[in-house]
Amino acid sequence: METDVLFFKNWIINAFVFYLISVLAYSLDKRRIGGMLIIAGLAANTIALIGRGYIEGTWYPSLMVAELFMLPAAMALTVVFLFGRGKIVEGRLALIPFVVCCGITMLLPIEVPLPSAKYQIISAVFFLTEALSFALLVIAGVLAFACLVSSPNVEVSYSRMILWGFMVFTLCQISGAIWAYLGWSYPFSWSPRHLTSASIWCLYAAFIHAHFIGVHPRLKAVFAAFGIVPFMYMIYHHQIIGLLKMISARAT
Amino acid sequence: MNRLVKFVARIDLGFFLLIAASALLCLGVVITDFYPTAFRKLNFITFQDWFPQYYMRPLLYAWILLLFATLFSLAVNTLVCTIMYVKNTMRARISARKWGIIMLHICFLIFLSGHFLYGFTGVSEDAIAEKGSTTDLSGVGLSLLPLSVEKKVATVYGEDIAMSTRAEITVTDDRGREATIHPETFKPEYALGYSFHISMKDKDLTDSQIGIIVRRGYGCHLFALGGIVALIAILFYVPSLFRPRGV
Repeated sequence: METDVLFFKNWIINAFVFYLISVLAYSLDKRRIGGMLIIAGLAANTIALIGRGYIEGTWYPSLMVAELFMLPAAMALTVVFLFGRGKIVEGRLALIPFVVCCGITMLLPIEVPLPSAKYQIISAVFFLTEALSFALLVIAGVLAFACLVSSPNVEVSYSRMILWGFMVFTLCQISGAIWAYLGWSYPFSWSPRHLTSASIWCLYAAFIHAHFIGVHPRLKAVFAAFGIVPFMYMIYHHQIIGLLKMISARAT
Repeated sequence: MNRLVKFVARIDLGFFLLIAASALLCLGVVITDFYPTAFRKLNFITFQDWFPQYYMRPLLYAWILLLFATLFSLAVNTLVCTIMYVKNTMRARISARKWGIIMLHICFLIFLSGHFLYGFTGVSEDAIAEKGSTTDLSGVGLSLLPLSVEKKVATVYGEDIAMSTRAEITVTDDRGREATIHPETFKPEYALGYSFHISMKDKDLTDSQIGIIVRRGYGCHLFALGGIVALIAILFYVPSLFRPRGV
């Protein structure tokens, strides 16, 4: 077990080192070097994830993407895409949530999950689409915030990212419903987790409709920036609740 | 009447209803924390059975009624809006993007109808069945007789982990109809109008026991249809996202 954990730990740390140096390079306007380093980081992250799914000679593909270690890769992919499309301002702004996401992931306990009946191919689709929609919608939220504060020219970019994010999030909801139905017998469960994702879906659906009723661009930006809050809660709720419990235990 | 239709078909009404639904669902996360057991029960009984049992929890009760009212209004708004949109766009040639938009709204309606149908007609019961002995499920009017139980176990880091369970079960309903099914973990089977799921909660079970969930939910057919329509809609809509223009 130690070997598998060590392999995963080493490669994930390599990935984060590459990511952080690439952020530095981008900040110093060395885009070529930044691009190469972030791709190296993505490769290291992918190796770490593949290693995570390979346990005692058997490969469990759905273990690769389970839980939160996929998120930095999805963020990195979005950053590479933005710089690749020549969206320099947007790419630079996207580095902020990317660093935050890497920082949070670094704080998580690095462990290899055990295979279980619940990890199926459909769960892999769910986790993949969830990570990608998280990356798109959180980066869009940060761009919207920047639009409010100083860069009004990123409005089209964040609106499009929200559209993409919404589509991917819809796919995530569908795959999640199939997974829940096959495994637990209901496609939608009355549980806080499902209520949060339904709430986020409605929020972004409202954002998309805002365009057609002539909502002021600043209000739209507030809307998109606010979307980060429930999304972060949905993704990191275990960690947030754990932290709150720890604080309350210390206080008492 | 015309004024009412016009009012119901307004996009801004849809926008505010979506915000209200989002806020209510978010609020639900907090409210349901106070009544976890009553809230969880919604997964297993119909709304008409749930309401009289839990009317003594006014906060939860008010929340769910408000959520129903909002979602129902949203469904009506979406329906009327979509009809108007189709009527207006039918005059010219409809682009793939517009088809995508229409289908996304239709699938949203299908999903909502699925939820309503599921909530008002779905029944479910779970039980532990033992190989060779009959288990009666009075809630759904069925009896189960497992003929064989096979458990697949993987040994990982010296620990045995249950990977899947497969069973052969004879099911008999209260009218005497009989069927033999072979459900497996994550591979439910359908017979006599019910779906049979092998439960993953099997830690304390012996090798001859299985946890089984029996469910009848007509809403599931609508969910499946909605999922297919949504996938087609996304396929229609996505190419338009590659074109360089605003939202």
